[in-house]
Amino acid sequence: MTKQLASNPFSKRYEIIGHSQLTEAVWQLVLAYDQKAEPGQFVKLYLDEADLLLPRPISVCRQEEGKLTLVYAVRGEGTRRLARRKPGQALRVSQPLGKGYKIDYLQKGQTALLIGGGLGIPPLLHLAETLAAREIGLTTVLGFRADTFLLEEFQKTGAEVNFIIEPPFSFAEHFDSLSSAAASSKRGTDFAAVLREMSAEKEALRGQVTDLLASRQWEVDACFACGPKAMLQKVTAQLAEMGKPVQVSLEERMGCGYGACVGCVCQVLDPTGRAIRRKVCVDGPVFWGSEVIWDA
Amino acid sequence: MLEVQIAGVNWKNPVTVASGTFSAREAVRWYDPGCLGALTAKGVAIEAWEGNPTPRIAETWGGMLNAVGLQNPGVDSFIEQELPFLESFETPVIVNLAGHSIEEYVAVASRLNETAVAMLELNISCPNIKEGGIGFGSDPDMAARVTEAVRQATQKPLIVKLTPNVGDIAAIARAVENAGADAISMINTLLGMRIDVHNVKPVLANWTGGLSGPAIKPVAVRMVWQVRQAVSLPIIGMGGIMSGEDAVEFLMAGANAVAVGTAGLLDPAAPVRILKEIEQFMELRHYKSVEEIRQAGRMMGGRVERHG
Repeated sequence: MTKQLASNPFSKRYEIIGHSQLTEAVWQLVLAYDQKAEPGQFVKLYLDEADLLLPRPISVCRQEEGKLTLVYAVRGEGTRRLARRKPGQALRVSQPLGKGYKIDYLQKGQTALLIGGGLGIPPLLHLAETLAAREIGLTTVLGFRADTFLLEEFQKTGAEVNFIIEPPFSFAEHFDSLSSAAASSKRGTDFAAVLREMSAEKEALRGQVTDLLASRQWEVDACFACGPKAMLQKVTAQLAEMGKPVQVSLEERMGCGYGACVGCVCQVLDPTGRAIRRKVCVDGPVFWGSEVIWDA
Repeated sequence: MLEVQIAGVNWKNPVTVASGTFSAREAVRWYDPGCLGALTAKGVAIEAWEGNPTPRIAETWGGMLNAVGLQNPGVDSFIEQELPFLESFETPVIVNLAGHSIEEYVAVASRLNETAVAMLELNISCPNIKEGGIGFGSDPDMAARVTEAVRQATQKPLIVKLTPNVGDIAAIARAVENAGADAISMINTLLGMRIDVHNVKPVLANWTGGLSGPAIKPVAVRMVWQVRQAVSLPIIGMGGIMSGEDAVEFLMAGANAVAVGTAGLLDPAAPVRILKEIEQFMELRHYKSVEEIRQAGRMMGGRVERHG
């Protein structure tokens, strides 16, 4: 009598095929996953524990055939428990959610600038790999709090990778630990040489991503950003001064993640210039920076 | 075997969704909402309400807090843009009414009286509204006055949704029954709070919010049981229902139907799953109708409890 359930359940259990620590707080989770996520979309992870009912929304970092990679930071009890899950175990994950970055309008040979701060960087990798496959030229501007992560993956897309690290970690200190990591790496890449190539002046690369963004003119056809709200607000303003619109990915505490509870709203300007509320989970998380009302 | 009748309206089964947790536009991606006994829309006011600033959501042990603040587009926009879609599912539509004052409740009820909506649910209980909302539901006289006023504004079956944030829920129930309610739905959320100890501030922008989910079920079941002793109105019971057995608990406590809220936020198809589990329970325990389950609950005996 009662069925009429659609064939695509909201969530399913998937096998963890890889789970490793990238830095002190940052982890990389790889799942055997059968759905297609667009760049900028997120999934919800269920811990399925009675005291922590709400699933965690995490942006998709990479998507390969049959695999999904998520990179997240351990911040609270939920992510702490998530970090303890092991390969071989099953984890319940939702279908891909949200509206991702608009990229279909870009033509082969055009160029894109990807600006990321901290945990805003992982979803930009999916975007970079997707754009690279469409032969869009890539430049990244990435800001890290402390240790870097995913730089080599960005490098592999062929992007011009620019990055900066917040003080008090001096680049020189960091450079040495990266070099020794490269030396002991089995990949055979002289990471140190790559870094030397990427950075003109070692000592200049301390600061915030907005400092790096302000440091030169970027001749690109499209801009995409992801990171903390304050960063996105500043980046939007900086790029507006350069006459460049930017797509930003917003974050908000979510309830359901699919548009029912109206918990995760942001304020944007509608086409007539009126302030309206939008749900970050279904209307976003990607919006044009110029339409976001930042001080809402 | 699952049919019930609530205040003269036939429901094909006893399961509806809790107001504020359901969006038909999203739900259709996973199931046919028409297979539920009724569909309950989010609270609607006479004019658009912005709702509270974010963060509006916080997790708690076995539940969640919400301080959405009844963001809604206003009744005119609702009637024009959302109601037709809801009515396309051929199952009774219940519209939840929100207001800051008796006049506002009457205005929105009058406006909806002109539509073909099957039932109205008077939301006097949401704890997120600073003006009026919590006042009405917490006091038997205020609850009676607003029920009476809305009663006069509409002939539609009128459900009054009770807040649990009171000392004597049965008194509120009696008051709204006497004032002309056709049914009672209960419970709304429990008032709660969380503090972020690292940043030393409340987690919710609104400071307090409504607690929902499995954590509140024992309170909800107890209150349904108490109200059932006090009134003869049909009761739509809700509060942390996550499974068919949870729903049966409410029916045995004296509810005539149930609503699924938070479970549907975790899994959009939860209302349908729970409906299926109720059916499975009935097969397992040989109940041929919802009324038989309620009858079994009556046979529990028990008496009206008296607390000092």
